[in-house]
Amino acid sequence: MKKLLTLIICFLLVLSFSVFAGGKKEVAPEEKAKEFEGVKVSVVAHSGHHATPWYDEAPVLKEKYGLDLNVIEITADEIYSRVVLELTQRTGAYDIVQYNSAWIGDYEPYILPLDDYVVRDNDAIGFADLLPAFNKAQNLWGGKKVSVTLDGDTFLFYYRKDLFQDSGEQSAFKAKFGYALPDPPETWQQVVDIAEFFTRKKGEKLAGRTLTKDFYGYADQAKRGRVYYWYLFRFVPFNAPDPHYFDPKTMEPRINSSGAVAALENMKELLAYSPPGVLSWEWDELYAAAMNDGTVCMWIHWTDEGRGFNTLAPLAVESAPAPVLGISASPGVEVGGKVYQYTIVDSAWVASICKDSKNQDAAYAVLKHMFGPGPVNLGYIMDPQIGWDPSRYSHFNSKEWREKIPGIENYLELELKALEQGYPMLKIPGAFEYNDVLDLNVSKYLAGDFPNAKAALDVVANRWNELNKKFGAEKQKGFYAKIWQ
Amino acid sequence: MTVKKRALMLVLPTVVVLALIVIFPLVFSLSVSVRAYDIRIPEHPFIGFGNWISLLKNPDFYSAVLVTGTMILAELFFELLLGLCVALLLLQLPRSRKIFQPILLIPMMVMPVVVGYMGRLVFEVRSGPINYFLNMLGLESLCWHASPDLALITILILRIWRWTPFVMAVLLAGLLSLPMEPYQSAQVDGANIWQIFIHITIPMLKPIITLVVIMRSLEILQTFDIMYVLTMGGPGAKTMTLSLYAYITGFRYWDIGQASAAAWLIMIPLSIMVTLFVKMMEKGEKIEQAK
Amino acid sequence: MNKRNKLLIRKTLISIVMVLIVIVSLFPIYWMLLTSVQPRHELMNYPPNFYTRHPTLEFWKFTFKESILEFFNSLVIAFFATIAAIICGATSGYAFARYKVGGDTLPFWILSLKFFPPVVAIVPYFLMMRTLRLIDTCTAVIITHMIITVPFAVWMIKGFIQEVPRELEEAAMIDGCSQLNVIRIITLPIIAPGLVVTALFCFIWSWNDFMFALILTRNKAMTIPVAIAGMREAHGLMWGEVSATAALGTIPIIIMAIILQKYLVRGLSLGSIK
Repeated sequence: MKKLLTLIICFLLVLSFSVFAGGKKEVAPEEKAKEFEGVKVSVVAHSGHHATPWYDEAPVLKEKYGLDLNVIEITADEIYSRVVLELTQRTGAYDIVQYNSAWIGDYEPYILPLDDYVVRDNDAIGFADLLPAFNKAQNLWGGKKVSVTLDGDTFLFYYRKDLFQDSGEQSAFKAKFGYALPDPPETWQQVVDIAEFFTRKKGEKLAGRTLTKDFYGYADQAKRGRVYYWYLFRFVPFNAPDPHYFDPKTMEPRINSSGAVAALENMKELLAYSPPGVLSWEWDELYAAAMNDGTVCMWIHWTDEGRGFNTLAPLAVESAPAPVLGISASPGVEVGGKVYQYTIVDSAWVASICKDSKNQDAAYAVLKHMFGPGPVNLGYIMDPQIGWDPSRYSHFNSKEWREKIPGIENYLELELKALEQGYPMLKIPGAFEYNDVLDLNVSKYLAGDFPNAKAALDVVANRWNELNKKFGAEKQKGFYAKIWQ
Repeated sequence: MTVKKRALMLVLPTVVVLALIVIFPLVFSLSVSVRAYDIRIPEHPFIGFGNWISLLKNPDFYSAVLVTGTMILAELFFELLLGLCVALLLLQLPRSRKIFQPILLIPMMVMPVVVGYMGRLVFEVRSGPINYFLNMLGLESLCWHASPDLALITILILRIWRWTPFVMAVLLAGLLSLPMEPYQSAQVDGANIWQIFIHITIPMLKPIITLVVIMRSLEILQTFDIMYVLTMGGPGAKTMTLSLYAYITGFRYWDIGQASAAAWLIMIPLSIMVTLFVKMMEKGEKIEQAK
Repeated sequence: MNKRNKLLIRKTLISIVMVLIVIVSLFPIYWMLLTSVQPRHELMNYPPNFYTRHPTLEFWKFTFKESILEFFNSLVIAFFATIAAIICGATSGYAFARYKVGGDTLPFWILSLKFFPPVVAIVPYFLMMRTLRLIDTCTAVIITHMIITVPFAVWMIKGFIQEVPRELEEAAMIDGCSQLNVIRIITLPIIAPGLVVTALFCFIWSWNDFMFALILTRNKAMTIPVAIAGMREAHGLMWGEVSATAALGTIPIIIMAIILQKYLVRGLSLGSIK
């Protein structure tokens, strides 16, 4: 018994020593010629595929500048809180932070504006090259350039064009609803009709062929945490022609307006035509069901599907027609004979330099290397594995990309067109809570915890008022105005 | 005197170390629970019992209490029932027990984060094995942790899977240590198995069952990991437990004042239970000493 | 003859039931291991595969490349949190049991720390570790783990020592043994299974902890549970990779528990009767 104990302890000791030994690294003497020789730059990145480019470029940066890149990965669940903690406590642990631009209200005091650098090196990082929709919704804050977009995330509406083009279905649709099957659908009411029309069981006919799986008209990515996005896609158009999160004059929440209620009801209505389990779906479940299984007719997602248009699976029917992916701006709402459609510009990932960083110049050099116009950045944008979406004119107009993937120009141009109607997400201090409160109550409503949509949104409005009070309503009004500047 | 001093010297390092570790967080959380404390706002004004009151007015807090209470009741019931059944079965197999018992303890070794992940794997809606079995039996696939009605049940199944072995092991140890005499005299009196079980086994197991109840309730009150990985409290707030609620309030919304108040509200039932726990242990000791 | 047969049938029936229970309780673990060695194209198929003809180590290679640092961090943290707990537990547990230091209050105070909700402590601990400049070190995580492991060990070991008859020690003392020798020769061997179990439980607790490690580490001192929780999303769940990492985080504990199972069962019974 004693022997065994000793054995185990020895084993553990050896293991632990091997760790300490492995931790030490030989520092080879080298000539001090490079610009940032020996400087360590720590960068916070969203864990997973988004972090890959940083790892890949670390040796290149070492070669070019002599600096060491230290990549700190944080999961999407924790990245906001974790970074707030480090920034507010001024640990100086981060030089570059990757964050969702919605959080700029909280990060602002700790972020270094890039305007001076841009003036000094004549915009080498290429702010002029960024699409205005992204530049405005993500980089500018109160007129200052606080960050550079790394992921041109936006949301597009996708649909099965192969199904929409089937003449048998077209005439059946017209017979049932009295209007021609719209391609693409323009209003949420049309989406409800189409979703109802195309939701069919395994064994029934779809496009004249027998379904091998259940087929659903529509799907959201409705897991608690990010389901509020899918609500906002409705909230904004349902409040056309002048959608606002708050009354810009009084800062009174508009989240429980009659339009907002109709938007939430639309969401619940479509749940009936959605696959079972959507309430726990995250990115990969929706992507897999829509792109790999061919069991979803319409959905809204980030641009990954658009870039991967040529990997769309055929419809889940016997001897399916060739798959075609339809892309358009999110459906809108008709007000006074005019259809208002918007494309929500995700307040997606941007990168900034921290004020507390001791190596700001080196950090700027890293940003320039990673995001400045040129082959390095374009390479990652073109790689569908990375998840950095195009955000610059040089991406959208890239000859290389269009040559490499024939047909991509269709997607690039449709996205450019959709972005003309870009609409920003909420960006004020505490945006995370504002959105999360919305998310929680939308999720509760979909789970059947509220008698009606109005009750759920009233709770949100109350909480938003409390949050306004907590951060100071007047201050928040000023920040809210900054979104539109 | 010197012996006393030496004994004190033995205890001192532990006490000092623990005090150093624990004093700051304790004082911090108490002082913060009466302030509007948000890490992003430089001022932390004193608001008295404001945090406590707004917490007690918050329906989300009550729903977390309800979820946690349901979990405690359901888990205790099923873990004790299953644990006792398995322990009684094992008792019938004196020889092969040595093989079965360690194998049955394995689920208890799996880390909660992994349990949550396994839940995603086996309860997967489209291609998980559990739904496959359901389909084989001619039933519809269920959405498990995605469904508002089943999410809590899914969590409970996973937690019961992980913790029943522990309950079983403790109960088995208790059963094995029971004295033989009452059984022999009962058999002489011609009692059947069921009567023996109700009138002799259960009463004698009572202290151990109480102990299990308290230990498990304490663990459930603090639990967090499986929900964090599997549902994040959703759908809606169907699986939002008290400690997850405190975590989200304090670490997502940065309402650290309110989170601390919530934690102290958790501490009250906790300390009552701890007192019970210790009282019971002392009682056990006295019985032993009396023997 | 008849009675023996009956008994035999009963035992067989019970054994069959037990085997079924074993299958149910091991199934999720088997499923995870299976997922970790299946080739990517076989994952998440319907109907699911219950075995694979083409096992691959692709995901395990990935895990060993990506998560080995986290694995060793976990090992170091759990090891030292356990050692600290056993040292504190043995010294003060002995003093509590034999000399009644601090009466009932002090041991009670120490025990009640075990029930301190970790959720409240994470922010103050972050502030504390920042001041000490210990963030992202194993030391920080070890210190915070001690708040759970030390009280647990003190309480357990106190109980075990109380079980050793005092007369045994006194008799040896009369025979001329020094107190240290008495502890070494008499007390320690008797409570050894208890110590092993206590250590095992401390180790498991520290190994499994998620919250403290999540808040107090950045990347250099990250532990296995945090790594697993982090891999869960990215872009789409990497079923194979996560399964391999989760298995890597589970297997050492299971192996350890199986090696120590003799003590485990005895120690559990020792501890729980108290």
